Amino acid sequence: MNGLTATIPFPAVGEASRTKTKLDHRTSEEAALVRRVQAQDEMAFREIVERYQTKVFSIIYGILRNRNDAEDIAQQVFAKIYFSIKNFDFRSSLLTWIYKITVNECYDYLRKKKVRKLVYESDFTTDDSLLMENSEPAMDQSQPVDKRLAQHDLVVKLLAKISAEDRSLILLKEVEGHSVEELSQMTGMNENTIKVKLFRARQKLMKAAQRLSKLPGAAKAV
Amino acid sequence: MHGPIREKLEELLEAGAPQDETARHLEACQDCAAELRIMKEQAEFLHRLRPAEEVEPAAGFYARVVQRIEDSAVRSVWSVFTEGAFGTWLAYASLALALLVGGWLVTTERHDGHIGSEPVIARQSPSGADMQVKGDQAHQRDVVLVNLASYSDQSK
Repeated sequence: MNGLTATIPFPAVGEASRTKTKLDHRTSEEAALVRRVQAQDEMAFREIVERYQTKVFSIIYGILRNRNDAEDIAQQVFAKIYFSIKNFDFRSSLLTWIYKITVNECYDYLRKKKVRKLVYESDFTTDDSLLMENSEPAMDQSQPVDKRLAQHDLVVKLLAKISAEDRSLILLKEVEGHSVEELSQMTGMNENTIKVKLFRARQKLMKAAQRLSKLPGAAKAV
Repeated sequence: MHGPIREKLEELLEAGAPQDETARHLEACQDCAAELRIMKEQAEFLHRLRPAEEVEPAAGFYARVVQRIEDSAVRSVWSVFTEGAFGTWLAYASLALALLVGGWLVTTERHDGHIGSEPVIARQSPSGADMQVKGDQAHQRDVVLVNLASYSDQSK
């Protein structure tokens, strides 16, 4: 979340943010940047790449845990942004739009490769392994790496069972750490809609996990 | 999951122990308590997708993005038909059209009686035109024979 708040001025969480004024994505500084890209200003596109490249890389790495894949997909994400920014309608924030594209690209990549076992230890470079060791919450350090990989694998698989919209929303909530209020501002949907969507997404994930656990030979990761 | 818990689900997942009515409901309703516990575990698993530190791309990333854009722009126009949702749609549409045309051909031929009917025997009968040709040929042969019979060598 640090990266997001560093780039986009979200309203502060707390009493001040409870006024629920709807953020107009058409008048923000980032909207002006988007308009420049839509007018084929190459410097503006470069600014977007430089502003969001770390965020995009981190999202991809969080899902795939592989630097080479992260580089390839990040390039694809920005190429897609370049070609489709003319259709950006300012209903959501630019970051939310980029986030959706990034997550969708990750899952397109996984689908195309028809990866059953999503993460193999053999795919990891030494840097990746070290980074992963440091990236896990402190309480998980006691668990062996292969168990953590299996759990990560399972979460990624379960997320593939829900719609792209639900997936982005739940990742923005649980991985990026946004509150319902912030999500409402970012997506342009009201808070109740966000809550309902999150609840349905959580239920779908729960049912998908139950189905998966009934399969023969299912991993006992959860 | 019951309404009161569903409404406060996000707060319950973020915060620790529930208060007042919510706590009482969770004590009384085992289903809600079990579902909430699973969703909390689920949220913890999702947190594993969050890297502790941000990952930076290697230097020269923008140049590589520009290269990728240029490569994408010069891709064959045929990729439109083979990739993405449109390609999938086109494949299904082609299959449906092939089935439709195939079905139409089979049903049309059955109606014409060409399939499964008895073999047709062509009957050949001399037509008037053929007789005329024959008559002409006989006449021409007679003319030639008369010419040969009446031929006399003029050089003698």
